[in-house]
Amino acid sequence: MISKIPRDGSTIDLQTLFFQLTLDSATEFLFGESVNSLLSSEGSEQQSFGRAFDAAQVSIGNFNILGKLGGYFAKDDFEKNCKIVHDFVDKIVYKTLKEVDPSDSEKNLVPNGGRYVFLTETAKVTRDPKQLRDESLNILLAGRDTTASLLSHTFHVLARRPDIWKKLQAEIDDLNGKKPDYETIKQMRYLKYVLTECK
Amino acid sequence: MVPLNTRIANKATTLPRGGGPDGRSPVYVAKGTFVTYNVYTMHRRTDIYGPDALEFRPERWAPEEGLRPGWGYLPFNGGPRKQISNCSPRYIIQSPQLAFQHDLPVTNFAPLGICVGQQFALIEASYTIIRLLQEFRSMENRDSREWTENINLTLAIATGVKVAMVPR
Repeated sequence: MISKIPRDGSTIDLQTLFFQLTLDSATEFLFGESVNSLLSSEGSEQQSFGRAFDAAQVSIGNFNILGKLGGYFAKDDFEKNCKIVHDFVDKIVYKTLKEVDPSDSEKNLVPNGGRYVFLTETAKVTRDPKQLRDESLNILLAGRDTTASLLSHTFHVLARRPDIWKKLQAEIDDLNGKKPDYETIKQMRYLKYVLTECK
Repeated sequence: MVPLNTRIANKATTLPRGGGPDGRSPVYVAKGTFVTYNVYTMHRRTDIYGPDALEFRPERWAPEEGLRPGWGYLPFNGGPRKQISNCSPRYIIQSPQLAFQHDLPVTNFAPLGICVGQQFALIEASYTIIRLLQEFRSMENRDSREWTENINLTLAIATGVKVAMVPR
């Protein structure tokens, strides 16, 4: 993500990058491999998936607001976007179902190098492809958009409050440029306050 | 960020406040009623957060300030969650305390918020912020428009976050 930010002073919309970043990290946890939307080119299958997922949600929001009138509201687009999202996830679901089979002890070995992968674990409980797709999309929505929106709001504030940026950077500079680990992050008090205030 | 949320009453009950002419009496909730609450507004209540509730002031969360909003702060929701484990399923009543705020060991985090992704989300957001501030010295705002909401299931920003980043 960092390499996508221009260093020549030109304008960038960080929100777009945050939604790609969290799409990538959430899909890695869900499916065992990231869709890598940050690395993929414009118009790629990965980026269309992200875009269709966003657009379908906007439609759902409109349906909620409009109630029965929602039936007249760009249904075609909504169905098209749902199909893009469903087809994309179904491919991964069917691949997982082939790889994971609790009745077959040969296939019951933990793939992904022992790492927890949501879809792999869920496929041990249900063989229903639709349920697997629904459960995955549920976690994707909960795990991705929320964090992207928290990051977007944090940077929206920071762009307008250099005083907070300065305090935050002072705390972060105590790491001397080292990438933080879990324990270090837990101990960063001002960062914690900023996130708590932002929510 | 989820600005609105809803619970449906699975049986007839009462809420301690919200009824009567002044809203201070109990209120009846019939079975099947949708009870929607607005977290965005709750987090801006001056009776909980003080007269500067609308201001962005991270320091209000320092322990010295003694702010204890309890159920008035619900970023990750609260309430009972069905726990699926190897033991028999059970319900745990969770208090929506500021898990991240208190320096509790990891094992103590789980029962505090109802959101299963709470820790993941906060660590992911923290890590991203730290890495960006390590990489860039400052940030310039490139958008003079007012903040406008883009609200679906979560709350994003209609105008985006248009900035220019200054490398170190």
